[in-house]
This record gives sequence, structure tokens and C-alpha cells, in this order.
Amino acid sequence: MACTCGSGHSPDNNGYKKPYQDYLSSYRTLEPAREAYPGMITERDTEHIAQLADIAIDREELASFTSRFNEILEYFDILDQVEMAEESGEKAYNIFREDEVVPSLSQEEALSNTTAPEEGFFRAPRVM
Amino acid sequence: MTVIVGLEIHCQLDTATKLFCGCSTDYRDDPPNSHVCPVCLGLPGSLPKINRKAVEYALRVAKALNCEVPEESEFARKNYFYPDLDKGYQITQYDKPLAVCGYLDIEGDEGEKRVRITRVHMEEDPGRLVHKGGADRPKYTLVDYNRAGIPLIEIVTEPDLRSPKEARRFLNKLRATLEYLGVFDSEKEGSLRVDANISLAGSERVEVKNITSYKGVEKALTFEVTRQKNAIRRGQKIVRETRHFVEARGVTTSSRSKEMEQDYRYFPEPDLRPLRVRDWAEEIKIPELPDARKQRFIEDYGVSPTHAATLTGDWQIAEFYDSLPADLRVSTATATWVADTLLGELNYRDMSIRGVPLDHFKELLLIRQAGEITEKAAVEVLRTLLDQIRDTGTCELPRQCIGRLGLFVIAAAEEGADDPVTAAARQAIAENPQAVADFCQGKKEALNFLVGQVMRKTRGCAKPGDVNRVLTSLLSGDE
Ligand SMILES: [Zn+2]
Repeated sequence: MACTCGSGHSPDNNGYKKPYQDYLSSYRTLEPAREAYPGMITERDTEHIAQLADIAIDREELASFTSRFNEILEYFDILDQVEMAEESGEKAYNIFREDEVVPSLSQEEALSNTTAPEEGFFRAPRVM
Repeated sequence: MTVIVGLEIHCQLDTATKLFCGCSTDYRDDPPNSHVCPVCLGLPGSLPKINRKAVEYALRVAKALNCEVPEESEFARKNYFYPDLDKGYQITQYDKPLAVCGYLDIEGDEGEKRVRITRVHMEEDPGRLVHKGGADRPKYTLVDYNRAGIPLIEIVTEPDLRSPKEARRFLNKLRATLEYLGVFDSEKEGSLRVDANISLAGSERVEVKNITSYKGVEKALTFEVTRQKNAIRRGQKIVRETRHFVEARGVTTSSRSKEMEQDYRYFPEPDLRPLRVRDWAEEIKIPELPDARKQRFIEDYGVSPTHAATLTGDWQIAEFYDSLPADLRVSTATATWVADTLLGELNYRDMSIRGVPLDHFKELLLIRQAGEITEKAAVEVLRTLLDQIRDTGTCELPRQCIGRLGLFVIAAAEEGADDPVTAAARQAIAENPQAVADFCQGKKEALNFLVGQVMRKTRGCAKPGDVNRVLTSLLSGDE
């Protein structure tokens, strides 16, 4: 688990080393598999991600998730082939909204998709 | 052993709405999950939209901290699975933060000190978790997303601080700066959270998380310094780890090491366009900051450097001082009264300057200045009013209080009249024949003693000059 305190911290990037190096070192955990199967998600990657998410998956699911991940990545290969017009996206910076309050959902609406709300809260499994 | 500290500070920006949706940020007194919408609940198909005000506030901070604003910055997704994140990722900034390479000057352990700021970036606050069924081994967790999406700035310092006290001073200065900028309200519960990196020279560093108060920073770091020093003395090696600060016990405890080996898989947030705000940052005007104000108080009002630092160390107090009439501002007595008496009495009661009707204290100062009450009485009134505020949330008008307590200065009338001061003086003379005899033998201290007696009888409301005059005149009459 990343965080047991629920405060909005970033557990890495601690001011002692530059964040980009953190990024590279975390990225490298996927690297060996990448080298073996360039451009593909391996079952090892899927297992790793499942572990991070604290989700138990069986052998069959592992194969199925892996192939589905790879299908998704193939869409990006297709997208990569599309030639982008030079100016597209050029001016698309600083897209803002004003700081004006709009009505929120009611508590009932907010909780309507959850199966076991409690005292107005969402209920989640133990995380500590 | 040199202590090396770097801080990572998260502050909630005081905007009206959340960072990426129009939900109100004014959630603290409201039921859970009543300030949420599809965006901040992370429902499929919803899209975030950046709050212009939040960026403006962050840029004010960047400017006040002397940062560089890069040409382009962007938001990134930080992926991790935890119930406080409804989307499964937090929108934050990563390799392209809003601002970098700044500094803040503070009063260090050895004089003025420049603390370098590594970066300032924006991100969204996660939701709030309530662990149910025992603190040590909760059964399950309740989640409130009212806080999810509140705009935060994260300010990261270089490891430039050299003691827990310096860290505390840095935080105080930062808080004052943010409040001067009008972007932060330190009174709001949970509006500031700090992670601290601390190491002893030559040893591994330890990250302490979960510090949620200004005092907590100094406490947590002091605990860590002692813990690490003791470990080294016993020949143990400090391991690089993450620890949690347990405020109630004033200690840090080790967290599981798994937390350090996260794979956040950061990538640029595809739902948001990058920012190009360097020009905007240049146009943004920021108000007078604590250092400049301190200098002005010293130069324009003749306030001593120590008092000036206290008076400008909090925006509200500085504003109060500036709002006083000109003749009061330049008086040393006023500076002492506000910096030492008022703040001292507040501190003693663990009260904050906020929620205190400053107009009342301004009036009290004016009454005192006009000589309608004595210094001693002014302090008594101040204490009474503060006690009332602490106990009931409100207080009397100063004049009402002074009248009720009978603290208005009792003026002695002209010679021979039967005013309260003269009456008290007669009584004092009658009750202290020995002192009178001493006085007649030329012992000056005897008069001081009698003055004290009269002051006591008039509960400090007589003017010492009057008492002196009346006593001398009565005693010389007795001769
Ligand atoms: Zn919302």
C-alpha cells in the first residue's frame, strides 16, 4: 500500500534527489520483460500490477488480462500511425474554468452506486 | 553530529471550488460525501477542468518563494491503489512542475539563512479515511470524498535545515507568507501537512510522514534526532525507511518497507492540456510580504526589530497594528502591549488571534492611551475579555467591562475634597501609624509603602501621581 495515513503526500520525491530519477528507477522494474518482448506486456507485468493493486488473480485471469492489455496497446500502435496536422493542439494550453461553485450531488446520489454505505460514508475493506 | 532536514509541505489553497470541478471547498461542517460530483468521485466519463484561481494562487506562492516558472508545466497521473483515491490515481505534477529553484529567507540558528526551494507543484487532495473497529487493528475503513479534489500546493525544500527548531521557524515563515498572499487559511483543520526528511551527517536518511501541525514538526524531528543518535551510539546502523509520526504520543513508528517500493507509473495526464503560465506569472502582483513589512514597522513606526518580527510574523496581527491610529503605532508602549501582552495572553490561553474581536482591543488601547484606565487595569480587562471569549465565544464591550469591574481611573479632586483617593489615603494613614512616624523622621521608603497601600485600596485605579500628591499633602497637614 502506498499510504496508510490518508494525507495527500507523495511518498517518493523527497527533495534529496531529483524526481525524474525516481521515475526512471521505478520504470526500470518493468524493463527486463520489455527487453525480452519489446512493446508487449508480459504475464510478469500483469502479476506486478495485480500485486500493487492488492488483487489476487489466478493463472487463467493472468493470461486473459495480459492479452487484453496487449490488445489495448495495439490500439496505440494504430494511433501512432495517424499523421498529426502540424498546428493541431498548438493553442490548446491553459484551458481553465472560473472558481465558481456549482451544485454537488446529494449524499444519496453520491452513494447510490455503492452496496454498503455506512453513516454517509463509502465502506472499504480494512487498509491499515 | 550535523542534523540535515528537508521538508515537503502540503497546503490547501483557499479557493471557493475544488481543483478540477465546481464542488465547494467549504466542507468542514457538512456531512460526508455531500460535496462531491462525478469528477471528484472519479466516475467514468467525467473530465477534470482546471480552476484558474488555483493556478493563480499557486503562481503567487511561486513568486513569493522567488521561484522560476518554466515555460511549460503539466499535470501527471500518479497511480496507486488506496481507497482515499477514487480514480485509482492522483492528479499531481511530476517532471514538469509549476515552479522550481526558489528560496525563502528565515531566521536560522546562526542568523539569517536562505532555505532553497526545490519545487512548487499543484495536486489534488485525496479523500478522508476513517478506520473503524480499534486503532491498532481496524476492521474496515469508511471513506469521505468531500476533501477529494481540494487544491493543494506541495512545496519541497532542499535539505538546508539544520535543526528541528529551524524547521519550525521555516514553517512559521512559510505560513505567514502564504497568509500574506491570501491563498491559505492556517486555521482550517487539516489545511497543512508536512513530511520531513531527516538524517545525521554520514547516515542514511529517514522520511517522517503524517505531521499535521506546526508544533508537530519540531516534536517529530526532535524525537528522530534523539532516536537516530541513540541508535548510532549503540553501534546500530540507521536504515533508510519511512516512519509515521504519532502526534498523541510524540513518537515516530516504522512503517512497512513495502511502501517505499511503490511503482507509481507516472504519466502525463491525458485529460488535461499543459500549462504555459510564465508570462502570467510575471504579471501577477503580490502584496507586501513579512520581511518588507517588518522593515517598514522598524523604519516608519520605530518598533524594535524583535517586536517588529513578532508583529509581522502573523498577517492578522500585522493588519491590526497597521489599523491603529498613527500616534499609537509609533508608541513603544503600544508595540509592547500588542506583541507581548496581547499575544502573551492569547498564547497562555492557547487561543488564536482569529475569532478575537480586534476592534475591542483597539478600543481598549485607545482608552488606555487616553489615561482612562491604568496599565494594570488594561491588562485585567484584557484577561477578562479573553476569558469570556474562550468560555462563551463572545465578550463584553471594553467600556462595559471596565465599568462593571470599576476600573476607570479614579481622579483625585483638588485639595481637601472628599474623593475616593483622598478617602483611601486617610484610611492608609490611620491604619499605618508606624509608616507615618517613619515618614516624619524623613524615611522616603515609608511614603512608597503608603502609596502602595492606597493603590491597593483603589484596586490600582488611582494615578500614582495623584496618590503621591494627596498623601504628601495630608501628611504635611498632620505634622
Ligand atoms: Zn466535484
